[in-house]
Amino acid sequence: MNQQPHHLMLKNVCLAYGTRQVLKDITFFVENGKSLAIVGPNGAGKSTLFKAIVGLEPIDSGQILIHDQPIHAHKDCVAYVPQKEEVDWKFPVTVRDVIMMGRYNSRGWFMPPGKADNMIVERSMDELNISKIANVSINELSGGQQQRVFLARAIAQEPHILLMDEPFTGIDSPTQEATFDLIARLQARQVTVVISTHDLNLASTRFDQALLLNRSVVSHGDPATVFTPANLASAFGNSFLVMENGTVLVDECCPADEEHTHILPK
Amino acid sequence: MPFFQFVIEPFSYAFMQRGLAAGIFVGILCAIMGSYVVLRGMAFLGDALAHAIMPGVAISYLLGANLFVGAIIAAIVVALGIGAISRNGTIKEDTAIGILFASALSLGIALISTVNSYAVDLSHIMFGNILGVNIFDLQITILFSVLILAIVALLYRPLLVVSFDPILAQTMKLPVNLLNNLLLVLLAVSVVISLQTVGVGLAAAMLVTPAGTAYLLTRRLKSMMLVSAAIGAFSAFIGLLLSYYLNVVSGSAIVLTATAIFFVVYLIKKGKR
Repeated sequence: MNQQPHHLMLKNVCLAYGTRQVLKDITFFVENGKSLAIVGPNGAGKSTLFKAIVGLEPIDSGQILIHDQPIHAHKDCVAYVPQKEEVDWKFPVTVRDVIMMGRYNSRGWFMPPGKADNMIVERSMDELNISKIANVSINELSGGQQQRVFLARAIAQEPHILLMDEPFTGIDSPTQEATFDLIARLQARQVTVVISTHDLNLASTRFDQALLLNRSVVSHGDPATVFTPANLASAFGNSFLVMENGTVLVDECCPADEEHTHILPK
Repeated sequence: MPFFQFVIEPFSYAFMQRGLAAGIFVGILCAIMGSYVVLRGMAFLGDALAHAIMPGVAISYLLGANLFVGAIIAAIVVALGIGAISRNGTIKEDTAIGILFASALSLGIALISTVNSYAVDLSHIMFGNILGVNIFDLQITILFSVLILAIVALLYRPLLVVSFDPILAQTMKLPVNLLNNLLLVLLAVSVVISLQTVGVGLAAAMLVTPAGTAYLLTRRLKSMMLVSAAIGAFSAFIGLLLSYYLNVVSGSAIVLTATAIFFVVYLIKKGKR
């Protein structure tokens, strides 16, 4: 899968729901093997951007290119881990069944999984430390385990680009660390990793690049150059505050039901 | 009378043999299609489909054409109509189904009531006439059951992903709408097949009850389908025996057997918790 660079390129992408412009003239480029954190306030268009990249939301204009080819030319090079509420957790499938779904595209939809597929599924479960619960029904899982299952499925897809929508929201810290370990291993395999988060601390310390989004790209590049008070003010408007010691506080960047602030290290 | 003879004797009649064969095929077919109905929350839609084929049946009855053909056409039209309305989203799906289903039933009954002997015919359409299954009916039942089950087996993985995780299905570039419509059409045809056996009024029960029971007992889709099929076939067999000895309508006997199995399983499961 590493025969060519898997860079992701967006050129002037625009998307509107009716008259409401959600994404405006989005242009950015991520090299293969890099990690990118997308940060922005509520309604900045983070989830919509991800859905556009995987082809769930049609874009109105512009181009999304993965190794210089439009997205519909690709079948399985992008894996997408949505926020976890979006499947029926009472469905009668086991952990292994869910992860095997990640192999269906490469195996062919009418063929039973082969030896290689089974090996990839086992390896994916090992990587996320969930081999022990392989035969457990998904309705018996904890929140952290649920996330690991979907991450395992995403890597079983052997993607060139992995997109994760809010992977650090509402999970325990071992799962958070497991997610970072995984990101590091994927980067070593030249996989491009793009995530969205409202955690400025994680975004600024643990990713190669950051992108501040508020309908359009406010700033993109090295986290240190992106998270400046001026850029944050531009992205978050009034809901942000610079303390006397230089610490930046941002409010209103999380789901409305969670009340807290984020502290950005200097 | 020894038990063996008690079980075997009713099936010495040819009409009972045909009825049993049809019942078992329909039981298995509905049970497997019903797994999707239960998991995707389409129980109301299954009921609606069954009633919505009435006008098709009535028109072919009035024209003296084959009931089966009319039913199939009506069922497919209604299935795709419901699919289109629910995607469009201007009205809630269950409201759309409710309107469509009651009006189709009314239209069907109105048409049939123009014929003098309608009471008997109507009761056959509503509750089935499994003992009146002739060789041609049985051939049709077996042919379509095998065909539908073969399609479901071939498309097992795509249908699993579309039902469990539509977002993954879309990101994997599966033809999601096509698969959903196909499932509706297969469901519609299954309902038509079960018309002769359990009738319009009870087809929905054969879709939901065995699959609902199997859902309580299993934790993988494949095993749910197999257990559901076993319950469907077993209910057909026991139901026919009961109808023979107790002299009750066979469609009702089959459905009540399936329901009894459901409650036994439900209570055992509940007791364990």
